[in-house]
Amino acid sequence: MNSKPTDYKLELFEKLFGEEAQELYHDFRSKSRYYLKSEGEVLFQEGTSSNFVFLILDGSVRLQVKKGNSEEVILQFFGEGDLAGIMDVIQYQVYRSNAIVHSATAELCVIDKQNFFKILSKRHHFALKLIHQMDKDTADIESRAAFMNTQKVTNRISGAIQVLEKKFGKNAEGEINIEISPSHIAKMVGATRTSVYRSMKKLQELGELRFEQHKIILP
Amino acid sequence: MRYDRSQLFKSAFVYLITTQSPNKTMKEVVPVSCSLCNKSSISSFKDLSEEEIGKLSQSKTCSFFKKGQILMHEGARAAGVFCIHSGKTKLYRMGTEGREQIIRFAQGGELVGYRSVLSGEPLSASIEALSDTHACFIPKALFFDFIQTNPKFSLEMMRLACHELGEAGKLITNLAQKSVRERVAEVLMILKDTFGETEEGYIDVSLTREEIASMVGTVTETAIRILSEFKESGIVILKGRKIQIVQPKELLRIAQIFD
Repeated sequence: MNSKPTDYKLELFEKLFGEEAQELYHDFRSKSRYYLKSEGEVLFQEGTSSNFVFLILDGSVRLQVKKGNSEEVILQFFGEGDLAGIMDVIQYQVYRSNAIVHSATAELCVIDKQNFFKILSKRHHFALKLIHQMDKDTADIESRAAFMNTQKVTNRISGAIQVLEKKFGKNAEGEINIEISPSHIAKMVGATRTSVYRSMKKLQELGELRFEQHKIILP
Repeated sequence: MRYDRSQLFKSAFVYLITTQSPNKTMKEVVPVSCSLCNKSSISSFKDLSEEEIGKLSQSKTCSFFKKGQILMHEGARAAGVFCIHSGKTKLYRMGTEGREQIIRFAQGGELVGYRSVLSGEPLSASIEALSDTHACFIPKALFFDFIQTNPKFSLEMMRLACHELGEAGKLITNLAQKSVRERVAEVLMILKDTFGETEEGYIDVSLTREEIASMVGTVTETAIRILSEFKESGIVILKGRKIQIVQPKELLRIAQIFD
């Protein structure tokens, strides 16, 4: 793990936090550590003490769970400006899922529980932003759940793609701004890779999406 | 704004709502002052100051909803939040093929609609009365005022948001990982934990088989078939809509709940 404590960028905080950006920039500079992590690296593991919160400055992180011998399920993705681990730090003593770097690299600030609560108690807009983030994440997961109330894998995939589009947006060519494999989609919708491949092929034939090199392109 | 304490005592025992139902006359006890509400110790407003409780009491509007009435519609913009005083409600959203997915239930002391108010986004679920319900409406502006000025209330909202996020995570994990039979077993245990039991030992909520299916995430026929299997195995007793859990340990085993 490469520690580069000088890489905090005020512009990024301004983009993410607006009104309280200056204060939060100084709070995070003095109270957190900066890390650059690579794809597949684990930020926290299910069952370990939840002592840290991770602010994602750049890149993406996925949250997933695995119960027994069952396949993993991807609960959600975090992007720029999101904080991973808040729920566990506030609600539980341990992390309830695994957080894994999804993008090729991710820039992060890691802050311990005590300092996180100190910032929270004096930065009202920051606290409100976190509630917003959690509310949106909950709505996204519930939206996927509503799409999963069906046996049709194509419907489940459509629901998952809608959530990804809303969360990460798409560029001028219609590409959703996150790289994702059919295997990840299978873990989002609770289906096998084979049925996800088959269903995505069907959706491509219907002209509802294109899938090229881990990129989903919407018409 | 100063809160007038004398006004509180003058009106303390004035019952706000009196409703008629076909079977009985209900004198519903929704006190004018929130400080006298029997849900005040469990509601999200428990950490408000006396002055803030006064503002809340003056601004709220209490309404009665008959069973089946909608309190808030999915897709609409919330002008405030509802604090459920009595009764049971379900929060659900429409999935594909017009099938509803029950997200959660809310009853006495719980807040609904607050997520839409905080995010400024349309309501992500509809809220419907499962039984005759009394609920107090709190305007958006006052709700935001409490969040901005009361750090304890703000933290309480954060805890609530965390809890709902955790529950949504469990819901999607179950939908993805568990079989329908396991999910039916889990839903029965959740219903028992959420609503408790009547004196006769039945789960204290009346749900149609369709509603149980929509919690489970399956079709009604499958939910009916699995419930019948549970009945034949002596795990539950079914009497119309009433469900009694006879063998909770067996249900937990089927649901694969070990913690």
